Amino acid sequence: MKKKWATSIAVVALLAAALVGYRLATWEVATVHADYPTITTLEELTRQATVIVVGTVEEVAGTRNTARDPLDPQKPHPSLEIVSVDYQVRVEEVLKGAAPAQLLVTQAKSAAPKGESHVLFEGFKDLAVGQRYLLFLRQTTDGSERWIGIAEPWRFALLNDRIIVESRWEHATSYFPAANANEFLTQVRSYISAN
Amino acid sequence: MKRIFKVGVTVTLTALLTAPVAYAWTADYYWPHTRGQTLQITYKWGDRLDDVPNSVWRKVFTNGMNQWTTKTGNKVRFSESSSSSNILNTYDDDDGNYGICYRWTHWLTGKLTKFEAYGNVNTTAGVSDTFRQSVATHELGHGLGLGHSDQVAVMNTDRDRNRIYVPQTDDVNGILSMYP
Repeated sequence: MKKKWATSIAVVALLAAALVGYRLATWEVATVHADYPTITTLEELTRQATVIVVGTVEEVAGTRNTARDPLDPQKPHPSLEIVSVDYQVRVEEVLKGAAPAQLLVTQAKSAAPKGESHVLFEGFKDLAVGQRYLLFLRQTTDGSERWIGIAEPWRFALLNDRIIVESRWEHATSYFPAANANEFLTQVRSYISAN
Repeated sequence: MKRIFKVGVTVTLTALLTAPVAYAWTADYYWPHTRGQTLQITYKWGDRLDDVPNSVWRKVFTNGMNQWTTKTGNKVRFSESSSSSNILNTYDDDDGNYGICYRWTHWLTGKLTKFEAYGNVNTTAGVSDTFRQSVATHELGHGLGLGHSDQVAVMNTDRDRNRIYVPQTDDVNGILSMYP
């Protein structure tokens, strides 16, 4: 009886080891990369954005699968998921364009072919709840009353008297180094009035 | 002690002098490759391209693959295979991306195992075919293992996509260094 038990345990252990070995041998790690628009001057950022606001992120309003089927945009994509995250932003000041007091700002967070694990977009960074930002936006084209960054970089954190760019674009800080917030906002306003 | 110092200085100088030239291209991951051999990559059309034989994205992906082959002097070559795990496809999303590339690597070796590249029909609506080809060539570059560059390169996100739509010297240097 004991021998039977021992044999069974040995077989199970061997199978488990084989399974673990197989999993380790075939285990893959995924990353997701993108090609996206970039802007290198504050003047151009100001010109291209349809709405520029200063606001505070109040909460993460939710996430959605935004990848649509190119053959029928009403349907989700059959083999790809993109999770976009929506943030509720309380607008304190509208510098350019027209914007409601509460904005739903969205950004793509992760992607995965159907059945695969979702992976954050390279360089993705959440908007921080409670943080004040200067945002360069445009309305999304899906008619959902959401707003999206005009290009990279599109958001600047206001930290006391400093303004600091936040972007998934690895070279954004070269073009937009940390600056005095008041001077930066004055510059934005002057570009807006010049246009 | 002096000898150790001398050896240390020599090793440091040698390392500095023989370090790779600071190319702007970055290699994220590599496909398994044998030195001196052409890197053969298979692909198949995704389910949003296979039923659209004359679609512009099929055309620009094809042009992009041909350009990677030509510009690298046949160092990489793509061939269609229905059993391939590498997929070229499209999607529709106003997500701020022109295209994306999802890549898998083996957890231990770090070698690339497969990729899926997608052109975004939403954010590229209204742009030229040249622009789309630039995006397709960029995503294929990710598929080959390249990361982003800050030089004149198709792998630079901050490029004029109507002017830079085929692999540039910096991109080619990347491929030739990754797959000698």
